[in-house]
Amino acid sequence: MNAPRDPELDDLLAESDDLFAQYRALPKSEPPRELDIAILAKAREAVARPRKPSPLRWMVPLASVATLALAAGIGWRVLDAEQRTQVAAEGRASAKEEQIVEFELLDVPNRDAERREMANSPPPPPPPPAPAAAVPPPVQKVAAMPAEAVAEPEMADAFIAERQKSDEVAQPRQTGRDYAEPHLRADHSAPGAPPESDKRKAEMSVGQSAAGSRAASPAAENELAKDQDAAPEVLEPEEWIQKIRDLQLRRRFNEVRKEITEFRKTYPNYPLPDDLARQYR
Amino acid sequence: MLAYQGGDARAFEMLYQRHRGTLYRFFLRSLSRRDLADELFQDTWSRVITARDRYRPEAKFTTWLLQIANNLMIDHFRRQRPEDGGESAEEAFRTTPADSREQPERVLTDFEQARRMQNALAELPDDQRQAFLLRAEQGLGVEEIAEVMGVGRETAKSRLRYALEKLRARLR
Repeated sequence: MNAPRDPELDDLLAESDDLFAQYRALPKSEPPRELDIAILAKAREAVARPRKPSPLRWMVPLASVATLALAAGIGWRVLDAEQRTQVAAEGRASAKEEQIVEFELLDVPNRDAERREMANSPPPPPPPPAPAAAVPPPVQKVAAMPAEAVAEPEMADAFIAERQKSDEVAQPRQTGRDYAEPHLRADHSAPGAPPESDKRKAEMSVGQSAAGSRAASPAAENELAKDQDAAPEVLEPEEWIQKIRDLQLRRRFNEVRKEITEFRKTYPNYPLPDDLARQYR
Repeated sequence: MLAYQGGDARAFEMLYQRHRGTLYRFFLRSLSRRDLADELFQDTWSRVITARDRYRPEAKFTTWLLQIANNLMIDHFRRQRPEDGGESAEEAFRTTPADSREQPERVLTDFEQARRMQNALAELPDDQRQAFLLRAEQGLGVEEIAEVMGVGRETAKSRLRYALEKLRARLR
């Protein structure tokens, strides 16, 4: 690149030619011979000996390694975040499908951890069937009836009345629980006759009629037994609630919701425990 | 210089032979003291040797060399300013080789002219003297002078112009 033309400077330099000539007339001093020798020796020595590794040489690989480590860390974090987002999206999708009810008592980190655990763990095993002994089917009540009561309708009535009394005796044990609020209990023991007792009466009446017909013919008794086997199992309220709690513990919320709906249909006046009632309105 | 970077010591010798005289005179005329000129001359070449790996061919070697020399000289001026004095310009001028004084009349005239020039140079401010020496001794243009001195073109031009005017006035 050429320097820009500067006429002023050119004129100045042209006028100063005599000065430069005077300067050039000055003696041509030279450095002493000893300096030449010393400097040239140093220059030769510098290229003859191996160079010391300078810190800059280490800086480049060190910086490269650090950069790679940083990039790997960032990449790992990004992937992890993507996976988390994916899991969260799947969790939201499954939540929509299953209508998962969030628990107020669970804090957010635990919920996330449980969601991840749910996403990664195999589906929980099916709940064990309710113990048959613990839930005596209505037919057992009929079967437990003394044979003479079955044989004679009057004795059957007496047996039912006695059984109702024993149920009423057992009732305070239930009302002692948290969910048995006084007003509900009053409602429950109202003369309007709770539905479960209706049901039981109906069952008993079924049993009664069955007993009558059984007394009439053994073939009819066998038929009745078949019908009762085929009929869906109806649990006692407490047992049913316990079953719902078991389902809840297994986080099968969809089934919990179904069971509660079923429970409310079956026992519309039976008070649900507060926690269940609050969560599954 | 690139050959010397690669370990060729003879390349350095060639560079040294090419620049040793002009560089030495640059120091000698700037400082007016032979011992200081020797010291800074040696320092300059030591730095060239040490910093050979940092040399990049984008820069002209002469410019790079003179930048090192100029920086050393500025450092020296900053250190020595309060006790300035030392060897006089005439004493520095006595280094004139004997063969240039063969004819008595001519020698007297040349000697007188050189002495006056030497004194006029010594009276210049440092930056103006350096600008003049870079032009007169090294043959640098204004842009190169500015680059070596680390100033703008106009500043270099101004320093050179002032130096020339003062010298002309002093030597008239």
